[in-house]
Amino acid sequence: MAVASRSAGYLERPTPSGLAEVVDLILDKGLVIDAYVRVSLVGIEVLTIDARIVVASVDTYLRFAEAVNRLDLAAQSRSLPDMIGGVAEEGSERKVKGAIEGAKEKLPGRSKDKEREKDGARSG
Amino acid sequence: MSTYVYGIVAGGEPPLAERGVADAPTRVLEHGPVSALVATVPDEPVEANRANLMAHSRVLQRAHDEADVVPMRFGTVFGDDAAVRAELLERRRGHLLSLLERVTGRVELALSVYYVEDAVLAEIVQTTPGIARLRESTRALPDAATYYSRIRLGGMVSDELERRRVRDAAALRERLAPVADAVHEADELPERTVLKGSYLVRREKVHEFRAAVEALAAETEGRMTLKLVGPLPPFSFVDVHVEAEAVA
Repeated sequence: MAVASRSAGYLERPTPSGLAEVVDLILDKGLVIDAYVRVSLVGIEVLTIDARIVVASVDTYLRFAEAVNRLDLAAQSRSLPDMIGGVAEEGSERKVKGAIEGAKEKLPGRSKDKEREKDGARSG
Repeated sequence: MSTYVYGIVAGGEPPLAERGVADAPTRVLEHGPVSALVATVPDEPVEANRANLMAHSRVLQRAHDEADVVPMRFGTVFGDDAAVRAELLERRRGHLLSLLERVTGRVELALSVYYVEDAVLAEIVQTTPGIARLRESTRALPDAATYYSRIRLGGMVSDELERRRVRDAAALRERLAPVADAVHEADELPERTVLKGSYLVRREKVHEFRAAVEALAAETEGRMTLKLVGPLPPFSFVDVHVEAEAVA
């Protein structure tokens, strides 16, 4: 098994270190016993990190147009076949190079619902 | 005074963080096969300020270092210790035991994967001729003349970005799902996010999961950034509401 070296775009944290990460866990998840939750939200800090959800809108589209128009393509050029997904022609089947196998088969319907249980998680 | 509940453990002596919510010491309330991590707090509602939120997380992290824990959501308060025993540990014993069993020997690892936007946009322009052409024509003219073209360009880019996100997320899933016992993915994705998921992983497989994520990070370098947090108490896998009234 190849040892993966630590790369530039990877951050690993043993514990949640920022308020945003903590809140993501403990305010939205965890076991809840209805009628016994007593939280006062006075004084809660407003969190903006990760909170912005993209809504398809004219503003979003204009922002994308602005982003592609100011791209310096020469600076961004890299050997395309080395990238995950390889070269994707408009409308054609995606060909994959590299270690990650592409989703050539039809994707399973991804319901907005939560978990897919594997064996063992529930069995005794 | 009231009793604040952090979470449930299967007895024993989990490590206790000294100071927790409302700066109160943590202690263990035993009741047969289940125990609660608790603290005595003042009677008013628990304020969701930075100190209390971080304390709730810290107490559970510390216990989870060495014990299996069913973590409560922030802010669960009972009238007193006796109420915790009667209303929670006794009345809901079966439910708590089944949740404990579900997470025994397992931890949660939280992964977020983001696009490096300029790299993926460049990829889209370079591999989608229609987008490249529209880009050329809108770039050449002043903004006032290209308002509707730019909206169309942005819409095409947005659609293509979403198509790629779906494919890239599926590829990531294929690599990670085999190492986990269960997966919970976020309903809504923040901007630029390819995938945001929580994985329930056996403690002895954590190194294998981390290695899989590190390999993905190396392969996607320059195009995606990855953030992995954990091991965490399994908040995402005990995310259930228990009704106030017990079933007779």
